[in-house]
Amino acid sequence: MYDSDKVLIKGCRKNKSSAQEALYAKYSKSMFAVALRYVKVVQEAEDILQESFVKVFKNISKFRGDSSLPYWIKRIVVNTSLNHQRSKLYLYPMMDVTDMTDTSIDEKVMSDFGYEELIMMIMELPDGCRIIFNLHAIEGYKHHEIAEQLQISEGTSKSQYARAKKLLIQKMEIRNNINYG
Amino acid sequence: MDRPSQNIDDFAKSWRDALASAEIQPSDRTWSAIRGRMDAFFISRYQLKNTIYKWTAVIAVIVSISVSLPSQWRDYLGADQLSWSSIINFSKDSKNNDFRAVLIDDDFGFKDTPLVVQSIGSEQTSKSVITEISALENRLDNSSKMILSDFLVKKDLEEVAAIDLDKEMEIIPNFNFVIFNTNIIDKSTTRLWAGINVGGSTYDPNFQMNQSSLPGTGISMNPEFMNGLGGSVASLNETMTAGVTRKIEFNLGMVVKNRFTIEGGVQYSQAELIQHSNLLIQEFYFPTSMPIGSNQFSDISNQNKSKSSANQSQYISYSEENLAFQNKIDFATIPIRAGYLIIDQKLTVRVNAGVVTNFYLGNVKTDVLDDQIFYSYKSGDNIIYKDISFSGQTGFSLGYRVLEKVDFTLEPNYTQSFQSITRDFSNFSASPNGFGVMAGVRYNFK
Repeated sequence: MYDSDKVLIKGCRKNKSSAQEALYAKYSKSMFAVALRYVKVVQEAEDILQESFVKVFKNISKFRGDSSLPYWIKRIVVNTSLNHQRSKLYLYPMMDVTDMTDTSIDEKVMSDFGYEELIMMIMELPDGCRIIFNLHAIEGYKHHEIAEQLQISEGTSKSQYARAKKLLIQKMEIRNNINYG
Repeated sequence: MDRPSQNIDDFAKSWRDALASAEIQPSDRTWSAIRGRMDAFFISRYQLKNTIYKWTAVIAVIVSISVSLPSQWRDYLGADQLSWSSIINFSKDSKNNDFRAVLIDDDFGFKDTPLVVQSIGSEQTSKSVITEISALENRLDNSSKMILSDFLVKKDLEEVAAIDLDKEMEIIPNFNFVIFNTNIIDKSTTRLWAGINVGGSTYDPNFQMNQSSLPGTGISMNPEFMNGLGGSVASLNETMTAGVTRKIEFNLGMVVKNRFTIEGGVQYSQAELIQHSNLLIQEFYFPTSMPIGSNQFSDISNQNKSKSSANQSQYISYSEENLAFQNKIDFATIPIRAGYLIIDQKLTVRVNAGVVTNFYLGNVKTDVLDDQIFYSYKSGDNIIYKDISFSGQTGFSLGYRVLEKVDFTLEPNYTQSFQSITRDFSNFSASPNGFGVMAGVRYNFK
């Protein structure tokens, strides 16, 4: 019945619950994976997902089609996640992290992990560098854009990203050692 | 932060690629929570409409009372009465004509401000009359009055009123609202009108659950819906939240004597409200194999084991279902209203009270967010709503003449059901009430 996004949007604009349910069924899994990356516990991610889809359904009439529907929904999920985490960022201001040596990891090592495990590693990161890692590495925002959005210095963004990178590599190495003995 | 950067390091790229197609199933309760919030969002729109109807009715009533009370003192002037506004209007209209006005302030509170104006024949002097009359009016409070012994001698006296110049006239203080003083409607005793009104009202069902039981459930739910639940309903709790009513009415009315009126009509009204049903669904089953000590049904919130036969155990599982419906109930109603005309000029204000007979036509329960019908009933089925119920209604009817025989009307009202609209065997009772506003046009035959 709702085989294309266009039909889904039309149905949601008419407040049809069947269209809303179909849209949720189509995008909830990928958006839940996005929300999980920004939080520490699954419950928080479910709250963000819930909040985000309510925003999507209430504001679907404002979707003009400039971008794709999944990209528009993802932006809502990311912004909701940031708002959700903002209080923590203010409580624990991010400081410049010094003495970060550049590290790298073999792509083959990455392929040893499923995305559930990778998401788990991100969830384990401290609040500040988890958010910056998500915004820079996954969503692809530049450090100055992140700095502007989170009202921190560009240096803080860069150093927190470096810290996240180091912690993730350590986690992968530990897991690899456990996996392969 | 709308444009993803293309300039990222290899580490970031590896992560981005690895998570590009990541999908993780959220728990079912997330969708339930979203659905619940969307239902609440939908209901909040009802509450907004409800508030608008209520405040419109309240404001209309306040306006009606505000304009009615002062106008009491100048409407339907007796044969020996004149209103200040008629003096002023006549002076304004007659400024180029030759007329004479003598106002004598005798023993009526104006001893310090005698005013005698005579033989006024030019525009200039008539202005002074107006000024002086206005000045005098300003000194006049509601409890004061004065006698006019010789007033407005003019060729066409009938334009003002049939004044007996030898008779003393009582001048009634008033406010100078133009709408009250022009286009006075013919005050012949027999007058008829026909009107059409559309509008709405709040609809507070005053819902009360009589019992939480299976018999009640069987009555309020249709079998097809029950089948869809996958079990039988062990108990039911229902609530109805306030909604709105849409109405259209045709009416006929007449003045029966002096200011007393009677009006009757036929009205179609559709009440729309939200019904929440909390169902405990009971399901019986016979497991094919059940290992000793098995915990395979641990996800079932509540389970009982009952003995059904010597060799096989029957199991009962209970699950809870929370549903929200949009309940639309259709009525044909016949209102009969007696009224009293407080103002009867270009603006008419009438206070009404009467009885409304409601004939149940049917009701439809649909999904809260779209029009998917869960079930519908019509009058004559074995339904929970009474075929006929009665309500009382009171309110104001404001009319303003916009064409020679046509009035624009605005009618705030309050309706209260005299009894429950549900039958005795229903598991709930509802005695609705609501504030409403009707707007329309009225054609005056005479």
